[in-house]
Amino acid sequence: MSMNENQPILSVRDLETMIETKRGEFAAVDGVSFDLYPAETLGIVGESGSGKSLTGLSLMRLLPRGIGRISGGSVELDGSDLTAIPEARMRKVRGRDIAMILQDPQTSLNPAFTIGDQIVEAMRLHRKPQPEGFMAMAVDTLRKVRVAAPEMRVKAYPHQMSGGMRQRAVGAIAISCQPKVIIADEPTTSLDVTVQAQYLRLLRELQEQTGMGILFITHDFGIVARVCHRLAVMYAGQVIETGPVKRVFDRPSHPYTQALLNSVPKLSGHQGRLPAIEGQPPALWAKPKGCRFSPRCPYADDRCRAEQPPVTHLGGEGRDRHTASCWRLLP
Amino acid sequence: MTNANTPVLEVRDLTRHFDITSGLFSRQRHVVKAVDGLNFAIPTGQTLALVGESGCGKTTATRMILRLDKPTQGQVLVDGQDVHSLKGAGLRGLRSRVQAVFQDPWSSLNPRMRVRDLIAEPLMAQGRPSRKEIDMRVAKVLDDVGLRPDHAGNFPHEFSGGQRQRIAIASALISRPGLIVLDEPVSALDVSIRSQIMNLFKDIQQEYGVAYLLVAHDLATTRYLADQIAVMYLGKIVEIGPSEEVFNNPRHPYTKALFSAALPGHPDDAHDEIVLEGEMPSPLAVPSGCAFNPRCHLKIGEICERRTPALKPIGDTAAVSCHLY
Repeated sequence: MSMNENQPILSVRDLETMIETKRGEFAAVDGVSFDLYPAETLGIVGESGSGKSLTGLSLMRLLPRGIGRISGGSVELDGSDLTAIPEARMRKVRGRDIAMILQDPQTSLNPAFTIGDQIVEAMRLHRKPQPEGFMAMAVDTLRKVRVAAPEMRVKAYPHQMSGGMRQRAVGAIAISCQPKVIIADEPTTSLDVTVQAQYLRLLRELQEQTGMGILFITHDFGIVARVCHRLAVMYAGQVIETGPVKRVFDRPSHPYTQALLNSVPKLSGHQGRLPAIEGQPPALWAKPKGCRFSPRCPYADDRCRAEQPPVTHLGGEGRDRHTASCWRLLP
Repeated sequence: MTNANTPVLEVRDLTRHFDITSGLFSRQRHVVKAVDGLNFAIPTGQTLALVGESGCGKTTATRMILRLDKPTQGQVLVDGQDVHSLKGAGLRGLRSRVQAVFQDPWSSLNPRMRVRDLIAEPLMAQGRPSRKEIDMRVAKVLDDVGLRPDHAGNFPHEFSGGQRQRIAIASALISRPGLIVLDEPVSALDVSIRSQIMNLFKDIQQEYGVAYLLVAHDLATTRYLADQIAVMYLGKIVEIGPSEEVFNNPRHPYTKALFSAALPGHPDDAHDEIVLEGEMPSPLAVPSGCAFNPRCHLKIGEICERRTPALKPIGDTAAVSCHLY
């Protein structure tokens, strides 16, 4: 690999995405910053409405037209700012340099075309055909995602495959052009436990082979613990804590991260009463002043309710950098 | 008629087969054995969880228990009475004894009904209570599920997902049932809301002494709520036993693999995942012998392909169906 291991391949700075609702326009992604390094998996963790999926769609510039728009910040991939390039160039970048895997393989595949046709469609846009032709390359890609009997499966339609197989096919389309970054938005939510385990292992193996960076959007800390190197926790449109997975699990510093990690039932050990977080996340149009988490935070005081806390650097640099945004972390 | 030792729910040899004709003019008929001879019982105030992956038959089993489907063979006994032979008043009585809470509180609540009427609906099946009595009982269950009595006049769309699930629980509780079927009751909820609702299920069980039949795919949720666990594979129970015992010492190779695939609570947790080959076979073509044998990592040999293992008791409380035991 020619790229520098310690240089991020993807740098997101102060990203802001506005969403049009019946009640007006609001920032659903509200100043999000993070880096993704080569061969690394970064987990973006949050509840529904936290802005994690919209962050992913903003990076791909796939926001629904007329409803969502990027209103600030930058997304740097390989030295160019994806928020600033014209759509024609973005179309070349999408799929070739940065690709996406969505939650539901049922809706992200076209039911009227074979799996092979859909992989070839992506490759035709971005790659030169090998002497043996695109279809042979598609068979090869399916083999990479461990689809059994790929020579037969290229001719299959999505409805002829199981859920796990379909999600592998979606993965095959995403990696077919060897992108540097893959955004995976809850790719295993609709899969069974044992099939999910197979799929997560596959993603890790593909990453080891290709060195691609993976942005894994999820609500599940179990997935983060299993596949991610670093994580960024989102709440109400903002990243409130980010750091290496092990460090954040051992020393969660934001009260929201602490509460979330505590409230997840464990498979082993004592089964006492679960510590619950009272209340619920704020609506887009009713974000509290000050710290967004303050109405649910057991430690909140007047300053928390009045002013947004700054990002506090808690240790480490580069891949080891740990930060959180909470007034209590300041001296 | 019943005594204290009669389980709230007992199923005996519960079986559901579906006939499928393949092809437009074909006379070839296949039988899908969606549920194939289930036996279990839930004592008063306890929780049994059915665990398994999609296609294992847990939904078909709960449908028969709720009397939404008729068994091909076998019985469902509630308080010792066969629910599929009940008629008239006996059947109305059953409706108030068995209630259900489903996965999606967005589709399970009628959007045109006020919370009071939604919650009071099961009472209507029991006779004609007075307005005053309804209001009192609605206020009581609203309080028990952590909502305010004045919420009774609102419509479902005015509530968040967690609150809607509380409304569904209140409605299931009002007729003071002996059994509530919980079908994936927290999987549609956000992480920070889940723990609130799971705590609520435990509080309610203590206060009302109600038994739960839990269907959930998340193993940690199951472990938190269940006293007993029954693991299903292709329509059959492959292992059943007390929750602690099954989690700490899973015996069936499928249970072992399923638990090892569960996601860890911490990045340092041991990761000795057992990799299963392939996916669950189609129920149309169940492998001969032990249905799990083509994917089994502990297969003994030919016997697994030839003979279907029986569910053998282990100790007083557990049972497993595997030739290893």
